[in-house]
Amino acid sequence: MQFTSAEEALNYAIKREIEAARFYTQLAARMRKREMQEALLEMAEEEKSHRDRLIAVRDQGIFTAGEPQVQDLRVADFVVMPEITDDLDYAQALILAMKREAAARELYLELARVSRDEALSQVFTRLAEEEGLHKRRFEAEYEDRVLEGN
Amino acid sequence: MSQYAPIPKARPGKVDRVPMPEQDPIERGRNFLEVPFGYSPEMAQVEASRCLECKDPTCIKGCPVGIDIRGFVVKIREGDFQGAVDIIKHDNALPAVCGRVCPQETQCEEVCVVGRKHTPVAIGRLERFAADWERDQGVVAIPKLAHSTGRRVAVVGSGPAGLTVAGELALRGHSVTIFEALHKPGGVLMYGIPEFRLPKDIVEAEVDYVRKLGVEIIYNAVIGKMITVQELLEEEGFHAVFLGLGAGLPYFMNIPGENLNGVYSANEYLTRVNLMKAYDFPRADTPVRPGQKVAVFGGGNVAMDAARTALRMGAAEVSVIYRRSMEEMPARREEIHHAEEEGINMRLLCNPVNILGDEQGNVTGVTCLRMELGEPDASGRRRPVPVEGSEFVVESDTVVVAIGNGANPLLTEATPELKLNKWGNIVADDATGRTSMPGVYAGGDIVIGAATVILAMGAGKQAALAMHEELMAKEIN
Repeated sequence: MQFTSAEEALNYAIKREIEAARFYTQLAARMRKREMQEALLEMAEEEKSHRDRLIAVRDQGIFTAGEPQVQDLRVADFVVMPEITDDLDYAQALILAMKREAAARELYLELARVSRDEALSQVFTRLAEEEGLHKRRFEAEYEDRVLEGN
Repeated sequence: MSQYAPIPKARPGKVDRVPMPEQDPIERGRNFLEVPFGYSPEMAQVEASRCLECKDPTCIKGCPVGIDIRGFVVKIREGDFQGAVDIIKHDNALPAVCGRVCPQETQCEEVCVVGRKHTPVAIGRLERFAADWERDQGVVAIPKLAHSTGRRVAVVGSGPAGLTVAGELALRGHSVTIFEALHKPGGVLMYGIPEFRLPKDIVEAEVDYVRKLGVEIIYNAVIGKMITVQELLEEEGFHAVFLGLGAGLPYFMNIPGENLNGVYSANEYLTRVNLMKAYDFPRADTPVRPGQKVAVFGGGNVAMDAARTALRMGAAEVSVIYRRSMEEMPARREEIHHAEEEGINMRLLCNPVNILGDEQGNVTGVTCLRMELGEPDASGRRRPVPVEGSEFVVESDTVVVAIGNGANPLLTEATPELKLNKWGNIVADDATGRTSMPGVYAGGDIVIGAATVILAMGAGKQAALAMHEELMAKEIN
């Protein structure tokens, strides 16, 4: 993967968010349970809001901090990726989502690390932070319910 | 009428809370007998004398089913124990159960005025005393039932919510049939809470009381599989249905190794021991692995129950592994105290991340990480975060996952008319328990997620009142 400008990097990130929204929409269509169809469509909507935020960043040229940097809960590090079937439950959907966000975060951290351009490296670092926030949102919801007694 | 003479009210703060006698910790760690013995009549009267008998009692507001606490405590002080029982049973059909397992310290006792300066009145112990006293007399009073209304109600599940609804509606003259999936009544009271915390003959006796109100219980009846909710209403002649299914689907941590031999959900482990009497194997048909080194994941009451059960099954070492600190532990302080007294090892701020096994697929240990509590987040909650490089292994041959339960989908999958939330819980009106399906109500853990016995009973009571209203407004043939 080669990037020469911040705009290119952001276009790539926007494309990934669009793909993510499509992924959840298609997955929702496969679900047997109505409540899971709705939950996955909500996740698709979240990805669209991430896309919109990145489009605004690209068009305005300002990458402001979304929220203060948060501690990494690292829930995604230790859970097993579920097999994707038409019978997913919400806990499995959350694992799937946090794992996807974790993978995206890792990718941007790596791109930041290998980037020789300082400005570009900073854009990737900010993108990694964004993905870290998305990951934490899923981890927190999983923790509040599935790990409530632990 | 009891032969006990009234005793005077104590001056505020002049009498300490009366301790409840209990089995020695070492001795009880090897038997399944109930831990506390309960109050004697004399002890109960002294404890009752500590009540300020407030004109505007705050304790009642702390009770999810609104028992007239002041009223029954005064009756105990006066030595009128039957009077106390009658008052309690006006609002609660399961007093011996609630007196044992309700978290009074966060409900009625938390708002007791005595508690502002001293230890609050031991309301739960007094409730237990009154219920036990009545049972010991050998005659349980049955209140007068209303005339038959001709309305028939099906209740699915005989746990705390279902029994409450059934009792309330039977008192109002409706014909109630409970459908129970297991071969015994009581739901979580029977399969979940162990004998040493809630003796099963007490559950049976309280269920028997509900039965004496005219409620019929049909066992081994899995609604959603054998017959649907729709069929109950349209073909079986029921005018309304209450769903009190409980939260029967255990959560797992979704970490590697949870499929190894020797890993149980707390549901399975406790059901095997409590309901299926695995402690009596091979005389009973159901075995359970009698682990020597048992690791229990979780910090709630169910985790304490599982750990203390493992000890009684002969384990040499039992660890409770919990990700947060003692302060955040959701179990009742009393249960934690009992578990510690019995020698359960509390491994706090530890997170199990991998269950290890041998070549035969048997559990050999649990890899854990040490945790620390992070800064409070937007919700104000301090979440646990791993400490880098803190990995260690807890040797174990048995693991019990006791982190919580979700909704069992057996019935809801067969009932598409019911609206569910994303976690699979039935969506029901907070005040009435009304669901999206006409004539169908729901309450307890299937609606709010795994909570407490008394909250389920509170929901059952509210639903029963709404059902009664709707039933009486309904024209029947």
